[in-house]
Amino acid sequence: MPLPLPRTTPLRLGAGSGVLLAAATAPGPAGPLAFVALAPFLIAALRAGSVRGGAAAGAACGLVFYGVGFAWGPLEMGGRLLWAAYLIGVPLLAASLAALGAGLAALALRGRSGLALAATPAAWLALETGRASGSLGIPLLRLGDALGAWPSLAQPAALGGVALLGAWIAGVNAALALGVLQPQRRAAALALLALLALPAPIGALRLARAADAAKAGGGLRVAAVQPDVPARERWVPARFDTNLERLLALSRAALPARPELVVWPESAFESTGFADGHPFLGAIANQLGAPLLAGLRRPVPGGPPGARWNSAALALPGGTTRVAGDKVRPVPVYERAPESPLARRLAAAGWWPGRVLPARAAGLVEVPREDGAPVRVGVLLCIDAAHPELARELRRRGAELLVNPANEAEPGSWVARQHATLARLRAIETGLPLVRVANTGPSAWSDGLGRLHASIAPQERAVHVAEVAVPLVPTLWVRWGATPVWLAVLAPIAAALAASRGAAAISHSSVGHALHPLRGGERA
Amino acid sequence: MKRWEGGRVGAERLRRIVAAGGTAALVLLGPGIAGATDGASAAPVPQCSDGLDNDEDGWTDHYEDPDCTGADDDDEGPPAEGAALLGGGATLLDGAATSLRVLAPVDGSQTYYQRVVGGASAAALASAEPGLPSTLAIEEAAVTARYLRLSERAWQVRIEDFRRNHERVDAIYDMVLVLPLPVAADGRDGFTTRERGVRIEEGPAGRSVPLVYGGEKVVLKRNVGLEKSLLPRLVGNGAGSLPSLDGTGYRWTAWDTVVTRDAGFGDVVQVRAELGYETASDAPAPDPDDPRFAAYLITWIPALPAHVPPYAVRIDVAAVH
Repeated sequence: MPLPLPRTTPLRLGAGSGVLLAAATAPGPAGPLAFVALAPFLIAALRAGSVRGGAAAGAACGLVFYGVGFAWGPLEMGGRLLWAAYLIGVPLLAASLAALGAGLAALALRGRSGLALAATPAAWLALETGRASGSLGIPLLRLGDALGAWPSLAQPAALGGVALLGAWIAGVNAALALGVLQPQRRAAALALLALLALPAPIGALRLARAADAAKAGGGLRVAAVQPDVPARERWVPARFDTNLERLLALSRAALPARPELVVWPESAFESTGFADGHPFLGAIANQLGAPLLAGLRRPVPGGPPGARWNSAALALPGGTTRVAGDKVRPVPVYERAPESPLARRLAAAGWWPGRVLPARAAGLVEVPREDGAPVRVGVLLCIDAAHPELARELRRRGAELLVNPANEAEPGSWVARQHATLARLRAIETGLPLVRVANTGPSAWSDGLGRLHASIAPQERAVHVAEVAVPLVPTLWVRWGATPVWLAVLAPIAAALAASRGAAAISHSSVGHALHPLRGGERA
Repeated sequence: MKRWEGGRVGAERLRRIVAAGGTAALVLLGPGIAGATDGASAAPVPQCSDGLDNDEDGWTDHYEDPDCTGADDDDEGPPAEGAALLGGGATLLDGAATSLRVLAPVDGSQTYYQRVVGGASAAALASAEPGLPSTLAIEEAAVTARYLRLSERAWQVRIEDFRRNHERVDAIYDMVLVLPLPVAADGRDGFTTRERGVRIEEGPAGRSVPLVYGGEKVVLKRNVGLEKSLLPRLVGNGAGSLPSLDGTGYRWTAWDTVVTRDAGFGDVVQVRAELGYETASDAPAPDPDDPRFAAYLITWIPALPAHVPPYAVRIDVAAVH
């Protein structure tokens, strides 16, 4: 067994992994760093020499990764509440990686490093799935999100969603760690790496072979209105007209390009809506002569005081309006209304500001076209686009286009860019084109392969009209969901367990034969 | 096609984020956490983010309470007296943050909106109040909407020399022309329009040109949505209501456009309007002796709360064969 690392080295390696993971999931071109980001932590945990050392490596990794990754919250929005959430939440998240590190170290101490590495993709997937689940779930900073800006690398998402991407990345990191930790198995590690690298060229080939769907015609011309209203100017009654005028002016400017759908960002219409939207939106769509999908708030009849839905309404020329969808997964605490007695107590004490009730399902609405059949549009409001199961469900219900109205003026451009990147994964997963329309940007048009066809830069006040591509055939992810991914990540564990049992049996058998004469001799 | 540079993040922001992450990590790992927590708890929570309805106006905190200018605003109450909306040409709130302004006519008279909302506070004018208006502030117009029978089936509604006080409200509003038009026995429309909508023109008859208001050529288009949402609320027996047209063979129809006040117009806007339509040959003509027959031009300002009746002008109807 190799010597354990010096006491502080696991901490350093863990923190190094945290830095690499934060860089890989940060907005920007560093996504592929994820393929090596986890390896230092894995090496640290497996060579820590103690469970405590493994836990320390995981904690260091988690504190840096989540500490940097979620720093936009308190830094951009400030306030005692967010700082408290940050200071409590980051250590809690880091604790999960500490537990992972402890588990890996424990297995290594028992001579099961191979099993530990084989289990890494499944363990990481379990952590991410758990973190994104439930009413307090945080769907950000998934390992697979790092590949959102790299469509050629992200194509496996069509097979198994962002879960498969995460498992793939974790597997590559585990193979790298295997090569470093067990030089005698370097050939096997290289073979494993080669196998794990296969999706990359396959993805590139898929992109190269795919016809440019946008050029094929038949798509929908969608106008994205990006008003770039700063957070301090939103929902200020005295600015209602100024903000509305900005939206109107941009929308009118798009009309020469004959948009078939004009989209405004999340809660862009700063007046409380009604059960079927808002008649003034109908008046605007009537004047524009084009369907308008606009974000607005709606009160909840009979609901708790101040409760509302975060909605999008579709207004048609002719003035009729209907609700196109409500947000399903409001941001925990900050946006989501309290549901448990404890949460209600926190709300009463001013520690739970959220008032938005979650919808049961994402909205699907038919947008009529002057020439051609109506297009079924699935609506993912803001952070709903970070939940793959919502996009998948929309596709299964018949969506032909995903629209993602977002705001993000309050949390700032860092997370806005992250959202824009990860939203492209929903396009790859479902094979559907996706149009993201964000208040402060970036707004973007992606095809079903996650390729960007047009965009509006962040912090730019602009409108742009682009034709979205026709949907691709439903992907395997749409058909099967995450089940095959779980089978895929559990398979190496089973194989490792079987191999170790086989080795133990051979070892036991050899020892038995060796000892047998001795036993015989003892008896004699 | 525009593209964004996904990787461009301000160095300062990156520095702040990394510093905060590192600081948080250090704080959390070390004994400093107690001090940090103590320090945080000492800071008072601003009224607009404390989860309480401090001014008991039914709205809580930023986003919901219209008097909150942000989460860090420590006053949920209405703004100070000096920030109230005043008539007589004064500005609503402070100039820089204001979008809704009520202006005095040049001739010194008072407009409807000056009278009604001239002294209201910003809280009273908050657009966040849900609800649609259910009454109108109706004034009589000096002109008549003439229903001209051009042939057995073809009709034209024509309003000439329509003079109306210019809305001196610096706001976006929906200009809604409410017209009685034939209804079929099965409840469907009993008419088919020959054009996109109601043409609005300015200038003398014969030489009129399309009205360009707020930079937009004005055409009032049919708004079925308003007919289902707004108009039913306005029909009633009161002074501020539209009369029911039941039994007349007509129904209320809405024709609208969204406009922003155009400062280029003076105290009065003078226009002519035309709508051509066809109907069944046995469709009745509007009865000018029935006081229920009238057209209304309504100014619906969404920034104003539902309890402020929109300004409307009633136009008598006459049938010309």
